This record gives sequence, structure tokens and C-alpha cells, in this order.
Amino acid sequence: MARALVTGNHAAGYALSVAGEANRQARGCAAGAYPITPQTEIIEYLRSFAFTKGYIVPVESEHSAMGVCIGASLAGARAMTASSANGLAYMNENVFAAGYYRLPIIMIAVNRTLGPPWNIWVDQGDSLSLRDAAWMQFYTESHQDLVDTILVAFRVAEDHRVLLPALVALDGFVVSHTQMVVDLPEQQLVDRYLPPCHVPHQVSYEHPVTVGGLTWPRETEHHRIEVQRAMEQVPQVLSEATEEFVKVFGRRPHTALSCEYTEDAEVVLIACNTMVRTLRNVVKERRAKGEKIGLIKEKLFRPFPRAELRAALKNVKKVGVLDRNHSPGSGGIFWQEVTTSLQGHSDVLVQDYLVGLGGGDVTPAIINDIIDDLYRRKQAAEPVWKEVVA
Amino acid sequence: MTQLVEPQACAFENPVEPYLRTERMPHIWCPGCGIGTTVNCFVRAIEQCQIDLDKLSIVSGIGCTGRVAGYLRLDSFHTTHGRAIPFATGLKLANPELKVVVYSGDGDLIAIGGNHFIHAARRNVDLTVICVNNFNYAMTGGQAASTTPIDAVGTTAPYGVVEKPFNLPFLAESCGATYVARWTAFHVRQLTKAMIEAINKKGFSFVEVITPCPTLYERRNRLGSGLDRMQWFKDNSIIKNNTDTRECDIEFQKPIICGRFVDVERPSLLENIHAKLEQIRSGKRR
Repeated sequence: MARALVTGNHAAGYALSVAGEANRQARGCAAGAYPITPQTEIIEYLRSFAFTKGYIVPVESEHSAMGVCIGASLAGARAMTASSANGLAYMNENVFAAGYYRLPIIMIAVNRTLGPPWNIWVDQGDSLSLRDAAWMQFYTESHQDLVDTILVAFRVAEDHRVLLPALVALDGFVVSHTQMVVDLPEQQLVDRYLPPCHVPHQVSYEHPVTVGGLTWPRETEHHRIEVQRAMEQVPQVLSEATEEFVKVFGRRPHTALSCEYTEDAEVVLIACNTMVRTLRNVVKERRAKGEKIGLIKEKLFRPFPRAELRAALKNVKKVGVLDRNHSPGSGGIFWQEVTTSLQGHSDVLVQDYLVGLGGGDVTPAIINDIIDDLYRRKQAAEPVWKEVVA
Repeated sequence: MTQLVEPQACAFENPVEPYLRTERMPHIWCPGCGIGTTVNCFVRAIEQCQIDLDKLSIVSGIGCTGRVAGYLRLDSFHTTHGRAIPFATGLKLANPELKVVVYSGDGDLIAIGGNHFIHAARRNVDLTVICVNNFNYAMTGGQAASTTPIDAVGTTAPYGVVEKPFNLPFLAESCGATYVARWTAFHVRQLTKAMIEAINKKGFSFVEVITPCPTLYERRNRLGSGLDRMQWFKDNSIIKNNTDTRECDIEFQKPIICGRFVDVERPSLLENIHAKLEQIRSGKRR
């Protein structure tokens, strides 16, 4: 293992590069690269890496970046890219295409608020806007979590039981531009962990195929059901990929849901990305005072781990969801998923809190305030806006 | 010792100031950047054109030059990345009395927005497009763009660019622009004149301005400061009006051909729309 003090973007660029290089005995790797703050250093890293077999195309837009990934993946290359905010929005059409073509592309989404009004700070609304794109979605809390998740994501995405692209999200600036000590796995370990990429429907001379034909409603429905079935395979494949990760790298990455102090908890808070780290500290402090409180780190968002969440919340009385995103006309997107998961199974009180939108800090004071509010609450109300701390 | 002069102590207001949103100053542009120079020329151009400022609208995309829309005290749009021209087309068609100027950078107008650029020129939409070309994506930190010369270095081209850059005057002319000129940030008088001509021109008029980007492009390529670059522009610009735009390619550190290259008449989109309507109404439709 090579321990290094690097930024989140550097860590992501490294993980993508060694994963791409690991496919050099097969069809190599490729990416489309287009700059956008705060992701740009990732594609700069990719463009600087001396791949044995691979090329990173400096394309003219995010839409083309995903287009290059789709073409490369169909030709058997390990394909990857990175973007943020309006870049993800502009890429949208091809993001759906990659999902529905069942191509194991990995994309890093450095979370940034969607404009207008223009804002460069973190908010998960950008990657969550792609929740229906037939992509797996992982949310990471730290530099190490990010590196590990990227490698696991390649393995799960390329598994023939799944064959779906994966998006790995991290907080813009909070992780992307800060430095932490990270274990950056060496190439030979990654070579062992990631077998050569083989897409069963990749283009070949022996078995010519046409990709992207017109289908009737019935065929389309079948296609959608197949995608759903593939999503349903993810928890099992992810669990196997995690065990293999432990064998190769000697470290256990976080899984779909991380339940902390939930066994005897009456109140549980759910969050993703770096909010989890602040939340963890607050929960530790309050448990030290004897409060029965726990937290759940929601890492896998698509497919949403409903069964695991229900099991984790079985004996819980109240749940607070921290949403750093907002779906206008509804509320927080994680809250929607949590309430849907519990529907018909539990009468637990679930309250949504919209926090840190547009990159406002989610401070321990805000979280303490939310916990106090949750204690007082007799019934759930509409999503509560917590005032942004600049 | 030099005494700093308090702003309120100045006897005269800068003649450009009434056109700027001074409350938004200081601006974000780096010392030595050429964008401010082009804005200065633009303000002088609209002053000389004596345009009714209520009928002038500025549309920018994203990037360093995209900030122009926010700094001019005019009706202005700071649009999404690459989409300044479609926004401007909507503005112009919905209110033909407006004089619409698109003011954006090379990365925005020619790379991510390249498709709109060629089609607006083809349609001959009544727009003036001012493209500030600093040879890279500056706001995100100096990545290679579709204008970066071969062998020049950028953060996404650490070993030098291998792709041929666009020749913007040729691109504009071949797509149908009615007016095409290129100047550098050094040529302030010629640039101001070109802007006046472009604003007064019917149809799709295009002005390319080559500017220094000392923080990124010049620094990474070891080309000196913004001032060094201005000297280089002075020494290495070849003023050659009416040059065949096919000869206007820009190569790394080779002389830059400047001048007015195209000035032709062609019915604008609005004229064509009205002519077609007239034809249909009069029953003379083929």
C-alpha cells in the first residue's frame, strides 16, 4: 500500500487511472474529459496518466464525454469520466443511454449545486437528478471511502449479473479540494482485484450486432424489467465484491448502509457524504450523555437498499433524514426513499430536514438542533428547512 | 513615497464607468488579463454608435468572458455554458428592435457551444458575436480548448496539444457570417472600430479578439507576463485586411493575421422570415 496525502480529486483520478490501466491485457481504457469546477482535477489527472493502452479524449462537452465512454465501452474498453452540476445536467441524455445500453461505465460526480443561480458549492441535487438513469449510485464520505468505492464500483458494474454503470459521488470542495492521508492501492493489487473487462454485447467481427434499435412497447417493458432485475442483483454482487476487496487489499470498505449505534437506538438520523462525519461526532457526544441515538450512513442510493434499511430501523421510534438536496414540490430525495421503504412496514416517525443547500455548512449546532426537534416531535410534518449557515 | 489617491478624490470620472456595474467591482479578472481591455473597447464602441441603451442587450455564456454580462450596466443574460447564442436568438426574434450582442469566450462559444455558432451563422441571425480567444478554458484552470494551438501546453494537455485548433474567421465565414474581423487586445483602436462595424452590420457579425491569459496560458507555456504578451502581439501581428480566411490559422508562437476579413451583404433571418410570410400571404408560394 502507498499511503499519501492527497486531495479527493487526486484520489479519484488515481483510482480511475489504475482501474483503467488494469485492463491493459484486454481492450484498455478510454474516457471523455471535459472540465467543470470542482471536478476538473480528476480529468486533468486522467489526461496526465501514462496508460499502456488507453486514451483520454479532450472532448468539447460533457454530452460528448459520455458519448466517448459509451463507444469505448461498447468496444470493450474500461470507460470512465467525471463531472459536476450543470455538466451532469448537460450530459443527461447520454447518461440514460449508457444505463439502458447496460454499459459498465464509472462516473465520478463531484457534487455541486445546480445553477442558476450560479453556485459552485456542494449540494447533492446534481447527481440525484440522475437517479432514474439506470445507474448505480454510491455516496462517499471521505477520501479513502472514495478510492475504495471506485474500485468496488468497477467490479460490481462489470459483473455479468449486473452490467450497469455506476456513479460515485463526493462532496465538492469539502472532499474534492481538501487533503487527507489515503491508502492508494498499488497497480498489481488492482490488477488482481479487477479482472479484464468483458462486456458480453460488445461489438465484434464474429457476432455483428446493432445497438440502439427501435422497440415496441412490450419489448421496451421487458428491457426495463431486465434492468430492474439487474439492480436487484446489486446487493449480493456488492457484498461479494466487498469480501474480495478485503482479501486483496486487507481493508474493509463501507457497504450499502453503515449502521452505527442503531442496535438500541430509539432515534436514528440518516445522512450521506461528509454530513455523516459531522453527524457521527454529534451522535458520539450525545451517546456519551446516555442518549439512545444512532446514525445510518446511506452509501448505496441506487438500487436503494430498502430491506436493509427496514431491518436497521425495526425497533426505532423516530427517524430524521438530512437532505442536502431539494426536489421542488416534494422535499428531500433521501427522505422520499426512506418513507417509501418503510411504507406498510412500520409506523416509525420520519421527519425530513433540508440542510446545507447550496453549500451551506452543516454544523454540529444544526445537527444538535435537529435532534432536539426530533425528540420534541409527536408527529411528522412537511420537510423542515434548516437555515443555511454561510 | 507614492500617495494613494482615494477614489472620491478623483476630479474626473472614468468615461467608461457609467456603463459598468461598479458596485460589482473589483472584478474577477487577473492582472494582465485582456478581457477588461475588450470591455473598455466595447463600451467606447457602443458610445460611438449612439445606440439607445434600452435597446441593447448583452448575452454571455460561462467562463471568464462570461462575466462580461454581469459587469455591464445593460440588460444582460448570463446563460448556461455554451448556450449564449440560442438565448440571444430567442431575444432577437421575440423583440427585433433589440440590438443583441453575444459576448463570450472561445471555450464557451466554439467548443461546447460550437454547434450553435455554426447554425446561427448559417441562418444569418441578426447578432453580433464577440469571441474573446485566450487559447484555453481559463476559469476552470487552463485546460486545452478547441482553440489551443498544436504543441501548446494546458492542464489537460501536459505534453502538448496534438489536435488542430479551429480557425475562427474561416469557420465563421464558411458558415455564412456577413462580417468577420480579428484583432488582439493590443489593437484597441482597431478593435473598437471593428466592434462598431459589427454592431452596425446586418446579419451575423463576428469579431475574434486574441487576449493574454497570463495566469494560465502564458504561465504554463512560459510566454511571460500580460505585458510581455501585449508586446508580443504588437511585434507579431500582421495586419492584412481582406485576407482569405483559409490563411488565418493560428500556430503556436507564429505571427497572427489580424484585420477585417469579410464584409458582405446577405439577407438576414428576419428578412427571410418576413419575405416568406409576404410570399405566403400574397398567394405566390411555389
